[in-house]
Amino acid sequence: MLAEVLSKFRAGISVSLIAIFCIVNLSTSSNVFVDSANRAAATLDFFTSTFHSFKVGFIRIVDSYGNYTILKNERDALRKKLETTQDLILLLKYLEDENSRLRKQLDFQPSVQYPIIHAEIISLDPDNLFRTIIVDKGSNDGVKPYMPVIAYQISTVQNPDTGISTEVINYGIVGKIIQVTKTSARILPLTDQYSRVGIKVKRTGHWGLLSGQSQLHGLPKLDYISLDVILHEGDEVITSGDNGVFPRDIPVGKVTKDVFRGATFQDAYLKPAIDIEKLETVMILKKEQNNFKTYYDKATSSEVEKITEEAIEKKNEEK
Amino acid sequence: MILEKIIIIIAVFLSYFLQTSVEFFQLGGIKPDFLLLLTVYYSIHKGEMYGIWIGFLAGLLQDINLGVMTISGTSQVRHFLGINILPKSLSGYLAGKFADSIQRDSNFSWFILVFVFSIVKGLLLFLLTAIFHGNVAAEMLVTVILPESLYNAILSMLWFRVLYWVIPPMSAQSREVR
Repeated sequence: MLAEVLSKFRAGISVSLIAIFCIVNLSTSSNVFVDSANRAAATLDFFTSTFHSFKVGFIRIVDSYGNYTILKNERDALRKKLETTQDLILLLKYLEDENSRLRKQLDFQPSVQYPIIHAEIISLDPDNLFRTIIVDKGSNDGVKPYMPVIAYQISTVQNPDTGISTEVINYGIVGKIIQVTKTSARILPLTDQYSRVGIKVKRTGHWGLLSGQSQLHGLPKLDYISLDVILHEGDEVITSGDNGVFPRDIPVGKVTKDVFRGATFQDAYLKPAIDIEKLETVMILKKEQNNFKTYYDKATSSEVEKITEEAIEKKNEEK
Repeated sequence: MILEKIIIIIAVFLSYFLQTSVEFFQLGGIKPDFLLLLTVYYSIHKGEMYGIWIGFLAGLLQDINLGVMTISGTSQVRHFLGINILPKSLSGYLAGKFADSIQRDSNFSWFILVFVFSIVKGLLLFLLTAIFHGNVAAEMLVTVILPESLYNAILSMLWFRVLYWVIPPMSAQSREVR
């Protein structure tokens, strides 16, 4: 009888059990399932990393086939044009440009004073509502939670007057490490709804808060900017260093044209300096989170007397 | 039977890797939900029990991927176990229920079914996030959930054919009798 009922309503029972499982897990901060899921993260990241390697290998094969076809066609064309030296000059010019571009990339070092761990992205955004980046470096490489993550990207900028395009290297904040396994780490990017970064407007020095919880997809929101400053489109925003995670003065992005002046503060949307969706590699700064707690030890009366005497002596000397 | 389950597990993992490691399908910052597509595909062809448990496994992988974070300056821990499992399992269950009353091999049916259950999944995810993790920007319903649902629905017309070719479901006669 019971078996019949269970069999008849097994789908409903399964859904109910899953619903209870999910709600209990989400309601509690830690339990055996959550701990097991955390341990499973390292294994899952290993498989993701393996898949990523396959993907990279596959892309290389496709690229090499494409390059082979291109090179074959080029060779045929060049054979015909070999009599003239013009083509050789052009080829040399191309190689020279490529060489200088690659040299520029190799020489690039961001202006931060912390050691850097280079990491490759193996997973990006499991869902459109949440933003998480997983990289292939973990505690074995010295990565710890709350280490800031930056990246550099090459972008092409066109001069509006001359129309000449030049390649520039941008660097900026990507996010911070939130979880570390032995061989992988999770990054909370600027664009995630839980991200909060202390920032300041470079031109005026006014402080504000950058929140990933934004109405516009992929554009974080600048909040609590004083009404004293007139924000312009393209104003550069940098880290203020006030939350103890990010070093100060690292580029974050530029203000977009959407600026809203409220009664007490103004807010705006920010275009991040780094296009997170096109990232392939990142740099983790080996910076520990600052501890801003200040402890006031109670001074004894003799210590107070000593300090006072020293202060008086110093004043007398100055006179 | 065991072989079928192994194939399903492989399909779930491959969909997960497609979703997290392949940027090719990204359009305007929005990715299709390959795991939901697989869940609905199996729900349509194999019944709601398949939908429920494939949805569970798919959601579990996503929740493990989201990880755990300690909120800066406090000892409060924020984890996500369950936040994707419930929407996906429920979508799989409901899709299986509705599949009985639709034409299973029609592009239009796939479009409608995937669109509706992408919205259901998105709304549930939004609600669970709002209830258990604090405020979420309501605009995400329009800027994320709606475009993702449309994208899923359009892609399903092609993707279900690919899945049908790679992992053909059992015939209609052998579909689970409920």
